[in-house]
Amino acid sequence: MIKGVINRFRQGLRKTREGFVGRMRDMFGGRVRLDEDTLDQIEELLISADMGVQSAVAITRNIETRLKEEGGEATLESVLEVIGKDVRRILTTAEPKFKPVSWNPEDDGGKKKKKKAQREPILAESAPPVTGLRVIFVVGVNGTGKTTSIAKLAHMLQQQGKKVMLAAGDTFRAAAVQQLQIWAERIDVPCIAQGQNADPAAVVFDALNAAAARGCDVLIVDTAGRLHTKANLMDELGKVARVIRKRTGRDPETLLVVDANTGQNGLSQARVFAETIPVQGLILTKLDGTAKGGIVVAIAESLGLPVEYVGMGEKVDDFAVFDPDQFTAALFADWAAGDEGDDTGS
Amino acid sequence: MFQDLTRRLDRTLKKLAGQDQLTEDNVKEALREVRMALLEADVHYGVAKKLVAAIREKALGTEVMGSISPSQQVVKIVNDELTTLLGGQASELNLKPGAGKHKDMATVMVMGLQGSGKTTFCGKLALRLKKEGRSPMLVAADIYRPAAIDQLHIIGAQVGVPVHSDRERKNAAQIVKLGQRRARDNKCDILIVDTAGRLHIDDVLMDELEAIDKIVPMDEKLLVLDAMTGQEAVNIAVTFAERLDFDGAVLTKLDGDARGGAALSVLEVTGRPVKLVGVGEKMEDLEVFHPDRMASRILGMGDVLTLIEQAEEKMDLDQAEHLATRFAAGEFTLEDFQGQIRQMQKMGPLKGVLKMLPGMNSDMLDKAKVDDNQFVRVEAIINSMTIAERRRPDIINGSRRKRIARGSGTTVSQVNKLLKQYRDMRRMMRQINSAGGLQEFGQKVLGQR
Repeated sequence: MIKGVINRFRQGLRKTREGFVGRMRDMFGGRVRLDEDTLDQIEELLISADMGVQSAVAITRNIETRLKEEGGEATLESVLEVIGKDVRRILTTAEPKFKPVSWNPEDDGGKKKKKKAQREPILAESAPPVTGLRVIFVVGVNGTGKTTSIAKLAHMLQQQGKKVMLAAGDTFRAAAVQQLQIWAERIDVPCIAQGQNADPAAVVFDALNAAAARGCDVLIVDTAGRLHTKANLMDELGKVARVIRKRTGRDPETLLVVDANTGQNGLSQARVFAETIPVQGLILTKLDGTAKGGIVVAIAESLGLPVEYVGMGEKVDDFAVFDPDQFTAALFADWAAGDEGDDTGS
Repeated sequence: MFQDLTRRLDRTLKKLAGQDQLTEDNVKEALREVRMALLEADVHYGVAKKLVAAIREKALGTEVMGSISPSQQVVKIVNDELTTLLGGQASELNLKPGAGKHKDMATVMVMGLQGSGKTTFCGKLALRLKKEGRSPMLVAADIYRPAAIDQLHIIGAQVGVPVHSDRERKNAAQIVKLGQRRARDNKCDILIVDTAGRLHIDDVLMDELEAIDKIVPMDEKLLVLDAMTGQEAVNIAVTFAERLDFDGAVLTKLDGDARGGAALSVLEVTGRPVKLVGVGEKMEDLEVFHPDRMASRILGMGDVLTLIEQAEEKMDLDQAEHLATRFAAGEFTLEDFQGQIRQMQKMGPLKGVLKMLPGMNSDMLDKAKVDDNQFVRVEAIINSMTIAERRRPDIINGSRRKRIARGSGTTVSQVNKLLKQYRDMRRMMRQINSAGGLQEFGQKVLGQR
């Protein structure tokens, strides 16, 4: 990772670090003594970093073990080391722990099934399957930063020499199509759109054909933000994903966008999205404005979904591949060294 | 995913049975559960701590009553405390024309972080005010986000409210000033300003908001907050309170399953009330904030308290007790079924009743397609049965089914359906007796899980 990105990444996390480590220091000073209240306080602190109860309980248990090993008292650094190690372990070993329950690639929504036998050969003839195209499907609840993340991701892939195309699949929110088109213009990539209220599946179908025709390497599909509790909108998402699967022969690479300000509801979001379509990983956005981002630890721990990318600011290159080591290092390990400038975490 | 606080407390307070008072020792575990539940609901850790201390004080020395379980007692204390904290009354917007800072109009500035739902809220507020007979104008002061101006124009057209924007000017305060002038010319009496969303640490944005407020003094400065926000909510609210002295908060995306503990934190830390809540994607989906409902939501209790109150008010208690006994014995006949339906009907539409159960949300209800007319049909079918048939539904054979269908003006398949429902229900009740709780019951009714 280039140095600029690391620094931005760390700057983004500084607030988190100050918040968490600062509070640890206020509470315990330099040394941490083993007793029930201490453990309760640490657990509470971990939860208050939005890390979730399950992770917090597990990490607290490890701290208890460490404190016992060290004779009932340990330095703050020692405790922070345990936390850092655990968080890194959770983030690096994340593996999806379940399959989407309602994901049936063959399901075309009932009625069509019977006609399929007659229709398929015609379809196959007129539009050959799209092969060799990487399709990235970007989903999430409202207002997490999907469209901006797509622009940043497209820019990043473009910098790597890939030929990228965008599909304006958010046909619901007012002016979402325009927003993506403006971004596309800025970063100079083509964007396939049909306009407001068009069928997103149709937009994606068009875009797949266009991407194949123009020999693109990557197609990034935008979707309308939807609360995971809206069953019909989640069904629609499944439909679009199946269109992609049908045309390309495999599941799209689905990324769930999570706002770093999100609290425990992030778990519920991730679970429902991953139950609906096969989610590969997360994009963590708005990391620069937040004290937290801890929800990704909870998501990795309970659902096994890893973070793939992080978005850090408002500029198009404020985007990086997620590095669990750096994330953890920036969160905990180098607190004593204190200030910017040092690059020990890299 | 989250467990109902009552059930969690049940587990920790089991050992309390037989003790006559809540003491420091025996409520310790329970208070820990309360704290965890609050933290899981995204209540700020500092606020949670304070609350738990207050709850401890109230709980200590309370006598354990025979009639309700210790956990119910603790839950009631927690709920009361939350409701008090959230404020007893709903707070109104202060937008009477001439009563505020301008003679001829009221001004509202809508602020918040990126993606919190400001622009959508502006549209909802404009529609609401328009319906109240006011004449609002929207001003697009978000000059940064691509297509933000387009978005406000589309929304303005949807709700039929004029939108002032200026794509040339790069000074938000000037745009608002000109917007006010134009509103005056158009005889509009409310100015709603949609501002740029940024990250709260961004001083440039704060300066810009201050500049707007200076050039056109605002009667209502509203902070829009995503209900899904975690512990960070307090920092956001404090920053906005310090720099802009906002008047109230708006909680958005409450139609999801977020507990919304952030609302409590904002209120406790800044003293600013939550005034309105966004509950859907449609422009009509804006509601006044109800502190008591929010308390139950944070605790994941549905609106059980209201449900119990309603039940007490409307139900014939003797009848209910009789039903409960049959229930417990696992003897549940169609006569009881009929009685129960009559009781339920007294409580109002079934949807409203189900909504109050924990673990329910409106989408689950939509999926379940609850239809109150079914009750009428069901009653007709049961009325066409003989008393023996109602008491021992197993004797209903093919020819009896035909007769019942003819008698009630329904079809045999409808009769079959009712009998199947009855059998399912009987089975479910046996299950409830053995293991389940109210939540599980609710979810089973709606065919979840």
